[in-house]
Amino acid sequence: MSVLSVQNLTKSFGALRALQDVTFEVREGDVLGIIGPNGAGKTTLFNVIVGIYRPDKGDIVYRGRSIRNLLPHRVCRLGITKTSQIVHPFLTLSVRENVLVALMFGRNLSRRESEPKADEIMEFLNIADVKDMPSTAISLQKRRRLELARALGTGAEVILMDENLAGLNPKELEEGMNIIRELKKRGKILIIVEHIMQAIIGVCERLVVLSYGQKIAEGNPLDVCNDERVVTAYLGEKICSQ
Amino acid sequence: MRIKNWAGPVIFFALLFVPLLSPEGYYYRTLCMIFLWVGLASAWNLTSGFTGYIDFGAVGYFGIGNYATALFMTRANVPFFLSIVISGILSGLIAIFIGRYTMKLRGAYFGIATLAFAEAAKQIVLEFDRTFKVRFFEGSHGITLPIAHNEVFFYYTFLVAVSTVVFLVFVINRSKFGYALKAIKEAEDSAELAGINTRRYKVSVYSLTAFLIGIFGGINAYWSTYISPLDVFSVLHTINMIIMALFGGTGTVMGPVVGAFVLSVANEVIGSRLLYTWLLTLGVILLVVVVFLPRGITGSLSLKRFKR
Repeated sequence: MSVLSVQNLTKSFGALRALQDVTFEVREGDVLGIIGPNGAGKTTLFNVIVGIYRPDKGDIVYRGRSIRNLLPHRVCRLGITKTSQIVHPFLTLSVRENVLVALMFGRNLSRRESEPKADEIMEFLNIADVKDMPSTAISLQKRRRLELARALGTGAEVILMDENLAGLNPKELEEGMNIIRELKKRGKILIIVEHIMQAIIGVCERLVVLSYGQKIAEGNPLDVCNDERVVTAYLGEKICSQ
Repeated sequence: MRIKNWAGPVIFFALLFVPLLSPEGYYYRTLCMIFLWVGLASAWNLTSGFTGYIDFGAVGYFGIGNYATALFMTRANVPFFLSIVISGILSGLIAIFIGRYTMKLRGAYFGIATLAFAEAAKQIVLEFDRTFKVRFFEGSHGITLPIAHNEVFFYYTFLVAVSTVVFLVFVINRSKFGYALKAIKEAEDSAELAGINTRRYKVSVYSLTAFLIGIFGGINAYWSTYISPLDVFSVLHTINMIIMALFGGTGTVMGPVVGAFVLSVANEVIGSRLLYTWLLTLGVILLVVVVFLPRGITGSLSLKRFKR
Protein backbone atom coordinates (compact mmCIF):
# COMPACT_ATOMS: atom_id res chain seq x y z
CA MET A 1 0.00 0.00 0.00
CA SER A 2 1.23 3.47 -0.82
CA VAL A 3 2.10 5.56 2.21
CA LEU A 4 3.68 8.55 0.57
CA SER A 5 3.16 9.50 -3.01
CA VAL A 6 5.22 12.17 -4.71
CA GLN A 7 3.44 13.38 -7.82
CA ASN A 8 5.00 15.43 -10.63
CA LEU A 9 7.03 17.49 -8.20
CA THR A 10 8.66 20.56 -9.75
CA LYS A 11 10.74 23.16 -7.94
CA SER A 12 12.85 25.94 -9.44
CA PHE A 13 15.24 28.41 -7.89
CA GLY A 14 15.29 31.24 -10.40
CA ALA A 15 16.41 29.74 -13.68
CA LEU A 16 17.57 26.51 -12.06
CA ARG A 17 15.18 23.61 -12.26
CA ALA A 18 16.10 21.77 -9.10
CA LEU A 19 13.30 19.24 -9.51
CA GLN A 20 11.37 18.47 -12.64
CA ASP A 21 8.30 16.30 -12.73
CA VAL A 22 9.54 13.84 -10.14
CA THR A 23 7.09 11.06 -9.34
CA PHE A 24 7.47 8.03 -7.09
CA GLU A 25 5.70 6.06 -4.42
CA VAL A 26 6.80 4.97 -0.96
CA ARG A 27 5.13 1.87 0.39
CA GLU A 28 4.61 0.32 3.80
CA GLY A 29 7.87 -1.14 5.11
CA ASP A 30 9.99 0.52 2.43
CA VAL A 31 13.63 1.42 2.70
CA LEU A 32 13.96 3.58 -0.37
CA GLY A 33 17.32 4.89 -1.53
CA ILE A 34 17.70 8.06 -3.53
CA ILE A 35 20.96 8.43 -5.39
CA GLY A 36 22.36 10.74 -7.98
CA PRO A 37 25.27 13.08 -8.65
CA ASN A 38 25.82 16.25 -6.62
CA GLY A 39 23.25 18.88 -7.50
CA ALA A 40 20.75 16.34 -8.78
CA GLY A 41 18.07 17.69 -6.43
CA LYS A 42 18.12 15.06 -3.68
CA THR A 43 18.25 17.48 -0.77
CA THR A 44 15.76 19.78 -2.48
CA LEU A 45 13.41 16.83 -2.84
CA PHE A 46 13.66 16.19 0.90
CA ASN A 47 13.13 19.84 1.73
CA VAL A 48 10.03 19.97 -0.46
CA ILE A 49 8.58 16.82 1.10
CA VAL A 50 9.01 18.02 4.69
CA GLY A 51 7.70 21.48 3.87
CA ILE A 52 10.82 23.65 4.08
CA TYR A 53 10.23 24.58 0.43
CA ARG A 54 6.89 24.74 -1.31
CA PRO A 55 6.78 23.00 -4.69
CA ASP A 56 6.03 25.04 -7.82
CA LYS A 57 3.99 22.20 -9.25
CA GLY A 58 2.91 18.75 -8.25
CA ASP A 59 1.63 17.28 -5.04
CA ILE A 60 2.81 15.23 -2.08
CA VAL A 61 0.16 12.91 -0.69
CA TYR A 62 0.76 11.26 2.68
CA ARG A 63 -1.77 8.62 3.71
CA GLY A 64 -4.40 10.05 1.44
CA ARG A 65 -3.83 13.66 2.43
CA SER A 66 -2.03 16.40 0.51
CA ILE A 67 0.79 17.91 2.56
CA ARG A 68 2.19 20.24 -0.09
CA ASN A 69 1.11 23.43 1.68
CA LEU A 70 1.98 22.45 5.23
CA LEU A 71 4.82 23.86 7.31
CA PRO A 72 7.50 21.44 8.58
CA HIS A 73 6.11 21.23 12.12
CA ARG A 74 2.73 20.15 10.76
CA VAL A 75 4.32 17.60 8.46
CA CYS A 76 6.36 16.36 11.39
CA ARG A 77 3.31 15.93 13.60
CA LEU A 78 1.55 14.05 10.83
CA GLY A 79 4.47 11.66 10.64
CA ILE A 80 7.30 12.77 8.34
CA THR A 81 10.57 14.37 9.36
CA LYS A 82 14.15 14.41 8.15
CA THR A 83 17.72 14.43 9.37
CA SER A 84 19.82 17.15 7.80
CA GLN A 85 22.99 16.62 5.85
CA ILE A 86 24.59 19.60 7.56
CA VAL A 87 23.91 18.83 11.19
CA HIS A 88 22.08 21.53 13.12
CA PRO A 89 21.81 20.49 16.75
CA PHE A 90 20.53 22.95 19.36
CA LEU A 91 24.05 23.89 20.34
CA THR A 92 23.67 25.23 23.86
CA LEU A 93 21.45 22.35 24.88
CA SER A 94 22.82 19.04 26.02
CA VAL A 95 22.46 15.94 23.86
CA ARG A 96 19.66 14.71 26.09
CA GLU A 97 17.84 18.04 25.94
CA ASN A 98 18.07 17.95 22.15
CA VAL A 99 16.22 14.65 22.12
CA LEU A 100 13.78 15.89 24.77
CA VAL A 101 12.81 18.84 22.58
CA ALA A 102 11.88 16.48 19.75
CA LEU A 103 9.83 14.29 22.10
CA MET A 104 8.06 17.17 23.81
CA PHE A 105 7.04 18.91 20.62
CA GLY A 106 6.92 16.13 18.06
CA ARG A 107 4.70 13.95 20.25
CA ASN A 108 3.28 16.72 22.44
CA LEU A 109 4.51 15.18 25.70
CA SER A 110 5.43 16.79 28.98
CA ARG A 111 9.06 16.86 29.97
CA ARG A 112 8.56 14.13 32.54
CA GLU A 113 6.89 11.82 30.04
CA SER A 114 9.70 12.48 27.56
CA GLU A 115 12.63 11.65 29.79
CA PRO A 116 12.45 7.83 29.83
CA LYS A 117 11.76 7.77 26.09
CA ALA A 118 14.76 10.00 25.41
CA ASP A 119 17.02 7.69 27.39
CA GLU A 120 15.70 4.71 25.48
CA ILE A 121 16.37 6.35 22.11
CA MET A 122 19.90 7.38 23.10
CA GLU A 123 20.56 3.86 24.35
CA PHE A 124 19.37 2.39 21.06
CA LEU A 125 21.52 4.75 19.00
CA ASN A 126 24.52 4.22 21.23
CA ILE A 127 24.94 7.86 22.25
CA ALA A 128 23.90 7.45 25.89
CA ASP A 129 27.51 7.95 26.98
CA VAL A 130 27.47 11.59 25.83
CA LYS A 131 23.95 12.47 26.91
CA ASP A 132 24.97 15.20 29.34
CA MET A 133 27.55 16.78 27.06
CA PRO A 134 26.69 19.97 25.18
CA SER A 135 25.97 19.09 21.57
CA THR A 136 28.93 21.26 20.55
CA ALA A 137 31.33 18.90 22.24
CA ILE A 138 30.59 15.59 20.54
CA SER A 139 32.09 14.03 17.42
CA LEU A 140 30.58 14.39 13.96
CA GLN A 141 29.47 10.76 14.01
CA LYS A 142 27.62 11.32 17.27
CA ARG A 143 26.10 14.53 15.94
CA ARG A 144 24.73 12.58 13.00
CA ARG A 145 23.34 10.04 15.44
CA LEU A 146 21.85 12.92 17.38
CA GLU A 147 20.08 14.10 14.21
CA LEU A 148 18.62 10.64 13.92
CA ALA A 149 17.78 10.58 17.62
CA ARG A 150 15.80 13.78 17.22
CA ALA A 151 13.99 12.39 14.20
CA LEU A 152 13.07 9.29 16.20
CA GLY A 153 12.08 11.47 19.13
CA THR A 154 9.39 13.20 17.09
CA GLY A 155 7.72 9.82 16.64
CA ALA A 156 7.49 10.33 12.87
CA GLU A 157 6.85 7.13 10.98
CA VAL A 158 8.58 8.27 7.78
CA ILE A 159 12.17 9.42 8.26
CA LEU A 160 14.15 11.02 5.46
CA MET A 161 17.87 10.58 6.08
CA ASP A 162 20.07 13.01 4.19
CA GLU A 163 23.59 11.56 4.04
CA ASN A 164 23.39 10.45 7.63
CA LEU A 165 26.15 7.89 7.04
CA ALA A 166 28.62 10.21 5.29
CA GLY A 167 32.13 10.49 6.66
CA LEU A 168 32.00 7.44 8.91
CA ASN A 169 34.67 4.77 9.23
CA PRO A 170 33.86 1.18 8.17
CA LYS A 171 32.90 0.07 11.66
CA GLU A 172 30.66 3.06 12.24
CA LEU A 173 29.14 2.53 8.82
CA GLU A 174 28.31 -1.08 9.64
CA GLU A 175 26.73 0.06 12.91
CA GLY A 176 24.74 2.69 11.02
CA MET A 177 23.45 0.11 8.55
CA ASN A 178 22.39 -2.15 11.41
CA ILE A 179 20.47 0.71 12.97
CA ILE A 180 18.62 1.26 9.69
CA ARG A 181 17.72 -2.44 9.49
CA GLU A 182 16.50 -2.37 13.06
CA LEU A 183 14.39 0.74 12.39
CA LYS A 184 12.76 -1.04 9.48
CA LYS A 185 11.90 -3.94 11.79
CA ARG A 186 10.33 -1.46 14.17
CA GLY A 187 7.99 -0.32 11.42
CA LYS A 188 9.71 2.87 10.31
CA ILE A 189 9.62 3.81 6.66
CA LEU A 190 12.95 5.21 5.55
CA ILE A 191 14.02 7.27 2.58
CA ILE A 192 17.78 7.50 2.37
CA VAL A 193 19.97 9.85 0.39
CA GLU A 194 23.49 8.51 0.34
CA HIS A 195 26.62 8.46 -1.82
CA ILE A 196 28.10 5.36 -0.26
CA MET A 197 26.87 2.64 -2.62
CA GLN A 198 27.91 -0.10 -0.22
CA ALA A 199 25.45 1.26 2.33
CA ILE A 200 22.72 1.89 -0.22
CA ILE A 201 22.89 -1.61 -1.60
CA GLY A 202 23.22 -3.05 1.88
CA VAL A 203 19.98 -1.63 3.22
CA CYS A 204 17.73 -0.40 0.39
CA GLU A 205 15.21 -2.55 -1.41
CA ARG A 206 14.42 0.03 -4.02
CA LEU A 207 16.29 2.94 -5.56
CA VAL A 208 15.24 6.14 -7.26
CA VAL A 209 17.93 7.84 -9.33
CA LEU A 210 17.88 11.60 -9.86
CA SER A 211 19.98 13.52 -12.34
CA TYR A 212 19.61 17.23 -13.06
CA GLY A 213 16.32 17.26 -11.20
CA GLN A 214 14.73 14.43 -13.16
CA LYS A 215 14.10 10.86 -12.23
CA ILE A 216 16.12 8.74 -14.64
CA ALA A 217 15.62 5.31 -13.14
CA GLU A 218 13.75 3.41 -10.45
CA GLY A 219 13.80 -0.20 -9.36
CA ASN A 220 15.70 -2.73 -7.30
CA PRO A 221 19.34 -1.86 -6.61
CA LEU A 222 20.92 -4.41 -8.96
CA ASP A 223 18.85 -3.44 -11.96
CA VAL A 224 19.35 0.24 -11.31
CA CYS A 225 23.11 -0.11 -10.95
CA ASN A 226 23.32 -1.86 -14.29
CA ASP A 227 21.11 0.68 -16.00
CA GLU A 228 23.06 2.34 -18.81
CA ARG A 229 21.75 5.83 -18.02
CA VAL A 230 22.58 5.56 -14.32
CA VAL A 231 26.10 4.42 -15.06
CA THR A 232 26.64 7.33 -17.43
CA ALA A 233 25.07 9.92 -15.19
CA TYR A 234 26.37 8.87 -11.81
CA LEU A 235 28.20 5.63 -11.19
CA GLY A 236 30.76 5.82 -13.97
CA GLU A 237 31.53 2.10 -13.86
CA LYS A 238 29.56 -1.06 -13.33
CA ILE A 239 30.23 -1.41 -9.67
CA CYS A 240 27.39 -3.82 -9.22
CA SER A 241 28.30 -6.35 -11.83
CA GLN A 242 29.31 -8.94 -9.29
CA MET B 1 29.14 28.83 40.56
CA ARG B 2 25.64 29.34 39.15
CA ILE B 3 23.62 31.83 41.07
CA LYS B 4 21.67 29.64 43.40
CA ASN B 5 17.94 29.38 43.13
CA TRP B 6 17.39 30.64 46.64
CA ALA B 7 19.07 33.97 45.92
CA GLY B 8 15.94 35.37 44.26
CA PRO B 9 13.46 34.80 47.12
CA VAL B 10 15.97 35.97 49.73
CA ILE B 11 16.58 39.23 47.88
CA PHE B 12 12.84 39.67 47.37
CA PHE B 13 12.05 39.29 51.08
CA ALA B 14 14.91 41.57 52.04
CA LEU B 15 13.60 44.23 49.67
CA LEU B 16 10.12 43.94 51.17
CA PHE B 17 11.43 45.40 54.41
CA VAL B 18 13.44 48.29 52.97
CA PRO B 19 10.72 50.89 53.74
CA LEU B 20 11.08 50.01 57.46
CA LEU B 21 14.45 51.75 57.33
CA SER B 22 12.55 54.85 56.16
CA PRO B 23 15.22 55.86 53.68
CA GLU B 24 15.35 59.27 52.06
CA GLY B 25 13.42 59.98 48.88
CA TYR B 26 16.58 59.79 46.81
CA TYR B 27 17.11 56.14 47.66
CA TYR B 28 13.51 55.29 46.90
CA ARG B 29 13.86 56.89 43.50
CA THR B 30 17.12 55.10 42.82
CA LEU B 31 15.66 51.75 43.83
CA CYS B 32 12.56 52.32 41.70
CA MET B 33 14.77 53.19 38.76
CA ILE B 34 16.76 49.99 39.27
CA PHE B 35 13.53 47.96 39.43
CA LEU B 36 12.30 49.63 36.26
CA TRP B 37 15.44 48.73 34.35
CA VAL B 38 15.67 45.22 35.73
CA GLY B 39 12.08 44.70 34.62
CA LEU B 40 12.60 46.16 31.15
CA ALA B 41 15.87 44.30 30.53
CA SER B 42 14.34 41.01 31.73
CA ALA B 43 11.27 41.47 29.55
CA TRP B 44 13.45 42.30 26.54
CA ASN B 45 15.58 39.25 27.28
CA LEU B 46 12.53 37.01 27.19
CA THR B 47 12.12 37.54 23.46
CA SER B 48 15.57 38.57 22.29
CA GLY B 49 17.73 36.65 24.73
CA PHE B 50 15.85 33.38 24.43
CA THR B 51 14.99 33.33 20.72
CA GLY B 52 17.94 35.35 19.43
CA TYR B 53 15.68 37.81 17.61
CA ILE B 54 17.28 41.11 18.64
CA ASP B 55 14.43 43.57 19.11
CA PHE B 56 15.47 47.18 18.46
CA GLY B 57 11.96 48.49 18.90
CA ALA B 58 11.13 47.40 22.43
CA VAL B 59 10.72 51.02 23.51
CA GLY B 60 7.67 51.19 21.24
CA TYR B 61 5.74 49.12 23.77
CA PHE B 62 7.17 51.15 26.64
CA GLY B 63 5.83 54.29 24.99
CA ILE B 64 2.49 52.68 24.22
CA GLY B 65 2.18 51.60 27.86
CA ASN B 66 3.06 55.12 29.06
CA TYR B 67 0.57 56.81 26.79
CA ALA B 68 -2.21 54.28 27.28
CA THR B 69 -2.01 54.62 31.05
CA ALA B 70 -1.75 58.40 30.88
CA LEU B 71 -4.78 58.62 28.59
CA PHE B 72 -6.87 56.14 30.55
CA MET B 73 -6.14 57.92 33.82
CA THR B 74 -6.52 61.52 32.67
CA ARG B 75 -9.30 61.15 30.08
CA ALA B 76 -11.40 58.33 31.45
CA ASN B 77 -10.54 58.38 35.14
CA VAL B 78 -9.72 54.69 35.06
CA PRO B 79 -7.98 53.59 38.30
CA PHE B 80 -4.21 53.20 38.12
CA PHE B 81 -3.92 49.42 38.46
CA LEU B 82 -6.66 48.77 35.96
CA SER B 83 -5.01 51.25 33.59
CA ILE B 84 -1.64 49.54 33.64
CA VAL B 85 -3.20 46.12 33.07
CA ILE B 86 -5.20 47.42 30.10
CA SER B 87 -2.06 49.15 28.83
CA GLY B 88 -0.17 45.89 29.02
CA ILE B 89 -2.91 44.02 27.18
CA LEU B 90 -3.05 46.74 24.52
CA SER B 91 0.73 46.50 24.03
CA GLY B 92 0.47 42.73 23.79
CA LEU B 93 -2.28 42.90 21.18
CA ILE B 94 -0.39 45.42 19.07
CA ALA B 95 2.64 43.14 19.34
CA ILE B 96 0.66 40.19 17.99
CA PHE B 97 -0.12 42.25 14.91
CA ILE B 98 3.44 43.62 14.53
CA GLY B 99 5.02 40.26 15.37
CA ARG B 100 3.05 38.40 12.71
CA TYR B 101 4.96 40.38 10.10
CA THR B 102 8.30 41.20 11.71
CA MET B 103 8.86 37.72 13.11
CA LYS B 104 9.09 36.37 9.57
CA LEU B 105 12.31 38.34 9.18
CA ARG B 106 15.64 37.19 10.48
CA GLY B 107 18.74 38.84 11.85
CA ALA B 108 19.36 42.47 10.98
CA TYR B 109 16.11 42.71 9.02
CA PHE B 110 14.10 41.95 12.13
CA GLY B 111 16.11 44.55 14.05
CA ILE B 112 15.50 47.23 11.44
CA ALA B 113 11.79 46.43 11.12
CA THR B 114 11.23 46.66 14.88
CA LEU B 115 13.26 49.87 15.07
CA ALA B 116 11.05 51.30 12.33
CA PHE B 117 7.95 50.26 14.26
CA ALA B 118 9.07 52.09 17.40
CA GLU B 119 10.02 55.21 15.46
CA ALA B 120 6.70 55.12 13.62
CA ALA B 121 4.82 54.85 16.92
CA LYS B 122 6.71 57.87 18.20
CA GLN B 123 5.88 59.89 15.09
CA ILE B 124 2.21 58.95 15.29
CA VAL B 125 1.98 60.18 18.88
CA LEU B 126 3.93 63.33 17.99
CA GLU B 127 2.00 64.30 14.87
CA PHE B 128 -1.46 62.79 15.30
CA ASP B 129 -3.09 65.85 16.84
CA ARG B 130 -1.65 68.33 14.36
CA THR B 131 -2.56 66.12 11.42
CA PHE B 132 -6.16 65.45 12.42
CA LYS B 133 -6.78 68.75 14.22
CA VAL B 134 -7.77 67.09 17.47
CA ARG B 135 -6.47 67.09 21.02
CA PHE B 136 -5.69 63.54 21.95
CA PHE B 137 -2.02 62.67 22.35
CA GLU B 138 -1.08 66.33 22.94
CA GLY B 139 1.89 65.94 20.57
CA SER B 140 5.20 67.24 21.83
CA HIS B 141 3.53 68.99 24.77
CA GLY B 142 3.25 65.69 26.53
CA ILE B 143 0.72 64.72 29.19
CA THR B 144 0.77 65.54 32.86
CA LEU B 145 -0.63 62.92 35.20
CA PRO B 146 -2.15 63.43 38.62
CA ILE B 147 0.30 63.43 41.51
CA ALA B 148 -1.29 61.28 44.15
CA HIS B 149 0.87 58.70 45.77
CA ASN B 150 3.97 58.62 47.88
CA GLU B 151 7.28 56.88 47.32
CA VAL B 152 6.38 53.75 49.26
CA PHE B 153 3.47 53.11 46.91
CA PHE B 154 5.69 53.19 43.83
CA TYR B 155 8.39 51.22 45.58
CA TYR B 156 6.02 48.31 46.19
CA THR B 157 4.37 48.60 42.79
CA PHE B 158 7.72 48.37 41.04
CA LEU B 159 8.91 45.64 43.39
CA VAL B 160 5.88 43.44 42.74
CA ALA B 161 6.07 44.05 38.98
CA VAL B 162 9.76 43.31 38.68
CA SER B 163 9.55 40.23 40.90
CA THR B 164 6.71 38.90 38.77
CA VAL B 165 8.72 39.38 35.59
CA VAL B 166 11.86 37.75 36.95
CA PHE B 167 9.85 34.85 38.38
CA LEU B 168 8.07 34.45 35.04
CA VAL B 169 11.39 34.28 33.19
CA PHE B 170 12.60 31.75 35.78
CA VAL B 171 9.55 29.55 35.17
CA ILE B 172 9.72 29.89 31.38
CA ASN B 173 13.43 29.07 31.37
CA ARG B 174 12.66 25.58 32.70
CA SER B 175 9.40 25.03 30.87
CA LYS B 176 8.51 23.41 27.59
CA PHE B 177 7.82 26.90 26.25
CA GLY B 178 11.38 27.86 27.17
CA TYR B 179 12.80 24.88 25.33
CA ALA B 180 10.90 25.91 22.21
CA LEU B 181 12.42 29.38 22.40
CA LYS B 182 15.94 28.05 22.91
CA ALA B 183 15.54 25.59 20.04
CA ILE B 184 14.42 28.45 17.79
CA LYS B 185 17.49 30.44 18.78
CA GLU B 186 19.91 27.61 18.09
CA ALA B 187 18.49 26.21 14.85
CA GLU B 188 15.12 27.39 13.66
CA ASP B 189 14.82 24.87 10.81
CA SER B 190 15.68 22.00 13.12
CA ALA B 191 13.08 23.31 15.55
CA GLU B 192 10.42 23.13 12.84
CA LEU B 193 11.56 19.64 11.92
CA ALA B 194 11.22 18.64 15.55
CA GLY B 195 7.56 19.63 15.46
CA ILE B 196 7.80 23.13 16.96
CA ASN B 197 5.37 25.67 15.55
CA THR B 198 8.11 28.31 15.47
CA ARG B 199 5.92 31.11 14.20
CA ARG B 200 3.40 30.70 17.00
CA TYR B 201 6.03 30.55 19.72
CA LYS B 202 7.88 33.56 18.36
CA VAL B 203 4.77 35.71 18.15
CA SER B 204 3.59 34.52 21.58
CA VAL B 205 6.81 35.42 23.34
CA TYR B 206 7.08 38.72 21.47
CA SER B 207 3.57 39.59 22.60
CA LEU B 208 4.32 38.53 26.18
CA THR B 209 7.40 40.77 26.21
CA ALA B 210 5.32 43.66 24.88
CA PHE B 211 2.70 43.03 27.57
CA LEU B 212 5.32 43.21 30.32
CA ILE B 213 7.09 46.24 28.88
CA GLY B 214 3.71 47.94 28.46
CA ILE B 215 2.95 47.46 32.15
CA PHE B 216 6.29 48.96 33.12
CA GLY B 217 5.53 51.83 30.77
CA GLY B 218 2.24 52.38 32.57
CA ILE B 219 3.89 52.44 35.99
CA ASN B 220 6.55 54.77 34.64
CA ALA B 221 3.93 57.25 33.42
CA TYR B 222 2.29 57.57 36.84
CA TRP B 223 5.66 57.59 38.57
CA SER B 224 7.14 60.31 36.35
CA THR B 225 3.89 62.34 36.42
CA TYR B 226 4.85 63.85 33.08
CA ILE B 227 5.48 62.07 29.77
CA SER B 228 6.39 63.27 26.30
CA PRO B 229 6.92 61.29 23.09
CA LEU B 230 10.58 62.18 22.73
CA ASP B 231 11.26 60.84 26.18
CA VAL B 232 9.15 57.68 26.49
CA PHE B 233 9.74 56.58 22.88
CA SER B 234 13.46 57.38 22.98
CA VAL B 235 15.55 54.78 21.20
CA LEU B 236 18.08 55.16 24.00
CA HIS B 237 15.72 53.16 26.23
CA THR B 238 15.88 50.22 23.84
CA ILE B 239 19.64 50.50 23.66
CA ASN B 240 19.79 50.53 27.46
CA MET B 241 17.75 47.31 27.63
CA ILE B 242 20.04 45.67 25.07
CA ILE B 243 23.25 46.79 26.76
CA MET B 244 22.06 45.72 30.20
CA ALA B 245 20.95 42.30 29.01
CA LEU B 246 24.18 41.76 27.05
CA PHE B 247 26.24 42.95 29.98
CA GLY B 248 24.68 40.45 32.35
CA GLY B 249 24.19 37.65 29.85
CA THR B 250 21.30 37.10 27.45
CA GLY B 251 19.19 33.97 27.46
CA THR B 252 19.64 33.51 31.20
CA VAL B 253 17.32 34.35 34.10
CA MET B 254 19.72 36.34 36.23
CA GLY B 255 21.81 37.90 33.44
CA PRO B 256 19.60 40.91 32.71
CA VAL B 257 18.91 41.33 36.44
CA VAL B 258 22.61 41.56 37.22
CA GLY B 259 23.33 43.66 34.14
CA ALA B 260 20.54 46.14 34.79
CA PHE B 261 21.42 46.37 38.47
CA VAL B 262 25.15 46.94 37.92
CA LEU B 263 24.70 49.47 35.14
CA SER B 264 21.90 51.38 36.88
CA VAL B 265 23.95 51.67 40.05
CA ALA B 266 27.04 52.57 38.05
CA ASN B 267 25.07 55.20 36.21
CA GLU B 268 23.87 56.64 39.50
CA VAL B 269 27.13 56.46 41.43
CA ILE B 270 29.79 56.97 38.80
CA GLY B 271 27.60 58.90 36.36
CA SER B 272 26.96 61.70 38.81
CA ARG B 273 30.67 62.09 39.55
CA LEU B 274 32.04 61.69 36.05
CA LEU B 275 29.47 63.87 34.39
CA TYR B 276 31.43 64.33 31.17
CA THR B 277 33.36 61.10 30.90
CA TRP B 278 30.69 58.67 32.09
CA LEU B 279 29.48 57.61 28.65
CA LEU B 280 33.06 57.10 27.59
CA THR B 281 33.73 55.01 30.69
CA LEU B 282 30.59 52.99 30.00
CA GLY B 283 31.82 52.35 26.46
CA VAL B 284 35.13 51.05 27.77
CA ILE B 285 33.40 48.79 30.31
CA LEU B 286 31.20 47.38 27.58
CA LEU B 287 34.15 46.73 25.28
CA VAL B 288 35.90 44.84 28.04
CA VAL B 289 32.80 42.75 28.73
CA VAL B 290 32.16 41.96 25.07
CA VAL B 291 35.78 41.00 24.44
CA PHE B 292 36.49 39.01 27.61
CA LEU B 293 33.03 37.80 28.63
CA PRO B 294 31.13 37.42 25.36
CA ARG B 295 28.26 35.65 27.12
CA GLY B 296 27.95 38.37 29.72
CA ILE B 297 28.73 38.11 33.40
CA THR B 298 26.34 35.33 34.42
CA GLY B 299 26.58 33.61 31.03
CA SER B 300 30.32 33.18 31.41
CA LEU B 301 29.88 31.78 34.89
CA SER B 302 27.19 29.29 33.91
CA LEU B 303 29.39 27.84 31.15
CA LYS B 304 31.04 25.90 33.93
CA ARG B 305 27.90 23.83 34.06
CA PHE B 306 29.41 21.62 31.39
CA LYS B 307 32.94 21.48 32.75
CA ARG B 308 33.20 18.64 35.20
